[in-house]
Amino acid sequence: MLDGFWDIAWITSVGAAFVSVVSALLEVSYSISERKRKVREAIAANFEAILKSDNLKELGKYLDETLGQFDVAEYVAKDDVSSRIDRYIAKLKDYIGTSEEISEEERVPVPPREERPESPAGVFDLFEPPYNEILAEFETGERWNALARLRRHIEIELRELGIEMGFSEDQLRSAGQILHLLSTSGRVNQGPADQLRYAVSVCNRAIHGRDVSEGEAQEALWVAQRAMQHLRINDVPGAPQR
Amino acid sequence: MRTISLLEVLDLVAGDVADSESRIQQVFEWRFDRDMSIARWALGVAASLTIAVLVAFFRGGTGDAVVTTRELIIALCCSLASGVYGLYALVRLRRINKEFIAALKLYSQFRSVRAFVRLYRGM
Repeated sequence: MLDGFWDIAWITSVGAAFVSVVSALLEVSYSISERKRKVREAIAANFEAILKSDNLKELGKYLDETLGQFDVAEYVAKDDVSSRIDRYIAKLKDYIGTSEEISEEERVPVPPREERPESPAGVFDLFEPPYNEILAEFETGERWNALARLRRHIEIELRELGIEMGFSEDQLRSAGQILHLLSTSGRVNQGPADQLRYAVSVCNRAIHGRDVSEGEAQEALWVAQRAMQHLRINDVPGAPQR
Repeated sequence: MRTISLLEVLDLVAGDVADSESRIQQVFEWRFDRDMSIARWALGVAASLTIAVLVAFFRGGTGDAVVTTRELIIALCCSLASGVYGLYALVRLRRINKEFIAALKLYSQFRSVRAFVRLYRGM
């Protein structure tokens, strides 16, 4: 009887040991296959297209539904995961600016009311591309997308202007910083610089979730368009006109 | 035990939770304590069982409690399984420092674009 008991104990113990080792191996295998599945989905979800997107909903949806599913252990363990997440965050920072950059820009004084040109309310045809596209987007209700895109456009234009004027890319970060650099170095007139600061401040209010009226958005677009035209024609000798 | 997901980091940012860095540290401390306890328990069982059964086996000739070969194999298998799992838990613990630093870094980066996170979450 005792022999039978020990036979059962022997078989049970060997079985338990086997199950324990197999469980550990299965857990490792599952985590590897799960990570690979998530990476494949991230790739399949048109990561590169998302990086080029100007749409708040698309950017947010991708963050929550795809990148957000990864955990910190996967971020540390695998270069492909960390690379995609880092590129996505860099895209966000580049596109909308960081909260610190936005706060610094908001402290810049807005030019007095009388220095702003009259906004051509209701004269949609006077806006050139891409300002007319941004205005159309704003009027369809995509206010955040439109003004984030305007801010990004101003920043790109100013960065290119700064490079043409001989500044290095390291010096040209946020729109406010570039304007400060160009105006204090005497490369651009104070008037257009202040007008662009006003336009950027309107965009920042939208990015921060504050209300921006249609009139303010139109004024910001008009001011930005006029100021950039003035900068291109008057402040960069020999620069190609846009 | 799974670590913090990026979605959970975003929840901390969007919710503007006070002293989030300390909360993240607390989560990692819980995880470290749990995994270390498991590793110690598993390795302790492996060592105790191995020593006990080997002593009993080699003392068999003196007329004391006899451990048969079959019983020795059973015990060593159990000990091996326990030891393997304990080592696996220790290996996982090696990465916890890097994961903690990475969690803080991700929190800081998402916090710098919190306007976007809050706007999107509010839609």
